[in-house]
Amino acid sequence: MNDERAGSTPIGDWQLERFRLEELPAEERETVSRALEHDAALRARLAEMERSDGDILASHPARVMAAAIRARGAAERPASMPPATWIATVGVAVLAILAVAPLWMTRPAGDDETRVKGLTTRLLVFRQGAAAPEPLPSGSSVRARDVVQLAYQATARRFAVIVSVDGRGVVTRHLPKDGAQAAALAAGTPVPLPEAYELDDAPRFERFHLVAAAAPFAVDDVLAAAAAPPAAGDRLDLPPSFEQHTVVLRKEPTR
Amino acid sequence: MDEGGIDVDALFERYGPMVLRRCRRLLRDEDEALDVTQEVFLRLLKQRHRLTDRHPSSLLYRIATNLSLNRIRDRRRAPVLPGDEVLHRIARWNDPDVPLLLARLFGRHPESTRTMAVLHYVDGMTLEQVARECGMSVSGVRKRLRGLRASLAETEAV
Repeated sequence: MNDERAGSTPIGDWQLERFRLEELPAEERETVSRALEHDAALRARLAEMERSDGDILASHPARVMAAAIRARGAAERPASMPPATWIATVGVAVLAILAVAPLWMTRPAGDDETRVKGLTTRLLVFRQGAAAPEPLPSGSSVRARDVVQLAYQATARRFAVIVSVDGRGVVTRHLPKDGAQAAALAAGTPVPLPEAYELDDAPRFERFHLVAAAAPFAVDDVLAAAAAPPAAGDRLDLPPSFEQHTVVLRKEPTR
Repeated sequence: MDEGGIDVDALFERYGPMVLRRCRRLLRDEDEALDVTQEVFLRLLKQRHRLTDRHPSSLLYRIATNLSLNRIRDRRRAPVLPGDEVLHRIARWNDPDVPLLLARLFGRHPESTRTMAVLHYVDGMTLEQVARECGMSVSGVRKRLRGLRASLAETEAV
């Protein structure tokens, strides 16, 4: 194979990228400019790059990506606990939930359960009972002082934040409990969060949101979105690059 | 994290699409490309002293190439084809097996040589352009690529 590239060298993507950014050396910039004048295919490639820029920044806004990059820099190690630690921190009731979860996962979702195509991460909600944990699909009724247990199931490497919003608009953070960046999820079987959660007397509903992505992102962005009115289908108003799974529980008046 | 006065939002707004496209092209996996894109900017923040004398696009492109190759190497999937045919197929970039070929090709060479080879054989840069990008002499680049081709010949002979 010959190292040298003789004659009129085709314009590479790397040159077009830098041409657009006005960071090509003057001589190469002139070469690209001349080629663009007579090469329709090259002009089409340049236009495609411009369209791609718009698509990428719409799906991955600079503000969100920059926050994720900062969070990643602030915490060099993953936030997840190893499976053994999870087992140590949860009790017998949660182990029972693990046994029940796969059965419940096969049920069809409720009508108002928000899902998106290609979802790899699911939020599971259970009510702790005297006999056994009760799965709560979206649309289930709950009351004040019910104790709910949250769990997730991820089928791929994902980072996630889980929050809830009650009928008074109060946002509660469930995962991660601390830290600035989303938690790294353990993929495979359902994983219960270490603490159960007692519902207070806030009226009308409790809405649980799991927000996931392939790369770490800032918890603050999810908290801010949860504090704002939801978008269509009870989804938080976040870029479409985030996976979301929402479970809404109806709050019945206390007897 | 100390960002040293760098506006990360503005940096991503300007260069993020270019970096993500580069990672997509090499990795052919959207999740991995997004993950490596973040790594690229993180690496840039850690090495911000290198931003002093060049346009960021050149440095970012090279970091994206290098980190993507690391990711391909770490996949540790089975090799596909030996010998010079490997380079020809790399040059024909649309071949879906290219990431696998890269893993085999560059496993035994320094990061900078891998990057030079991709810039030359995949991106079509001349030796002079590669030398400028990598801060080396043309003869140095030529020597590195010659070594790479020699190992490919050995691979083919085995």
